[in-house]
Amino acid sequence: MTDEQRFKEQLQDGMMVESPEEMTEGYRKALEGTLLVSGDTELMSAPAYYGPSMNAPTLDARASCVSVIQDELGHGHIAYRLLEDLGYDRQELVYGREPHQFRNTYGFDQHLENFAELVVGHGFWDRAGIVLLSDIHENTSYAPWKRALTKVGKEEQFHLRHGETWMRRLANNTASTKAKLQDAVDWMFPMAIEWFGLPDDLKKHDDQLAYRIKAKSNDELRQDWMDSAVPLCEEIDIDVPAHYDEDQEQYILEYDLPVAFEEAEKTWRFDDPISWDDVMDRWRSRGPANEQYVGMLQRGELGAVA
Amino acid sequence: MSADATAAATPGPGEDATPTERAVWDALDEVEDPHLPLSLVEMAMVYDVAVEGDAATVEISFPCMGCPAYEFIHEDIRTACRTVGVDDVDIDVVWDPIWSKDMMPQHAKETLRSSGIGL
Repeated sequence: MTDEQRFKEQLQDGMMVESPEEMTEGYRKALEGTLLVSGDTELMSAPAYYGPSMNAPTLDARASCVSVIQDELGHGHIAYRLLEDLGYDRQELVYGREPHQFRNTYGFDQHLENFAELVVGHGFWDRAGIVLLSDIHENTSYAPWKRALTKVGKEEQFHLRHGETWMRRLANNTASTKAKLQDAVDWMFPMAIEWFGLPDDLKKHDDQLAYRIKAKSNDELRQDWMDSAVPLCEEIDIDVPAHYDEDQEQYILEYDLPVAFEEAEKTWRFDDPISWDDVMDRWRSRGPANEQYVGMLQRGELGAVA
Repeated sequence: MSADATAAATPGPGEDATPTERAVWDALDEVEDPHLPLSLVEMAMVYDVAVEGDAATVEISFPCMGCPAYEFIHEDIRTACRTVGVDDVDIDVVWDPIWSKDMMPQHAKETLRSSGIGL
């Protein structure tokens, strides 16, 4: 058994890592990658949420939405602060990178154009954040991150509650608000499904799991997400392309993941299956709002609200 | 307002509180601040509870005027009161005295600190 294999075994047995000196190169690389995606996703959700937050329908809703943005910036800050311990420069991370170098989830490269899309962002995408970060909070071997996530988890629960509350209100208000909600769900549900990444049977090698940066596989996390997101939509009579299968005792997608996405129309071509390499290429190319959102943050200019 | 709010003692019912008022206080102590790992009572946001007949008046304040959870906290207070049989609830938001972290009991401050939240 190599030293690296023994290190991985010790981590699986519950060993915690406190500082960079205790890391191997492999561990450090896996941790850095995970922290970068997490920090960038938190940070880039802020400009994505900004526009529709300014158009919230009540003063209370607006105060909640602005608070969500403030929280997300704080969460990004926490991840970048942890990266500083690994030798990164926070200033450089935020202001020194080109837009395409950000590693945030692809959903936050999309334009959120109305309040329905904003609250589905809170209700679906913050839920995805909670699913991913709860696993890390409970199971990660990196102790400083585990401690920092106590605060993050509580705040994300607030975002989720705001999203769920308003999804229920829009669904039960008028036919028009319900239709807006359905339109948002139609493209944002599959976006969340895709966020969890490569299915387990295609993912042969996973350093995040081997080093116990996280503990649950992509498919387990995707199921966790559907386990609460799908019943919410069923409760408010909003259609989603997934259902619970009693025989298999799990949620089943009603299309062959992954499929093509039309960025300009924000629609999925469910009858046009693509490969995960195609998905990775799309993610790496970044989405339509990437340059605008990074520019808003780096210039400190919020721009006109649509 | 109750003397407890300014005395930085443990916020809660005064000695002359009725059993129903005590029950409301207990129910409010189960309501978590939507943003923080503490109850509204531990946050010292509940200044007074008065029950007359079937109607309760809950006097509260907020740590900041633009509280992002203003509406949720109102909903949660009404729900909590219903769990102890009080359906008619008047929530009186007051800004005097101004809420201060000094009103919070020591254990609440420690919970915030250990959660990475600066005071």
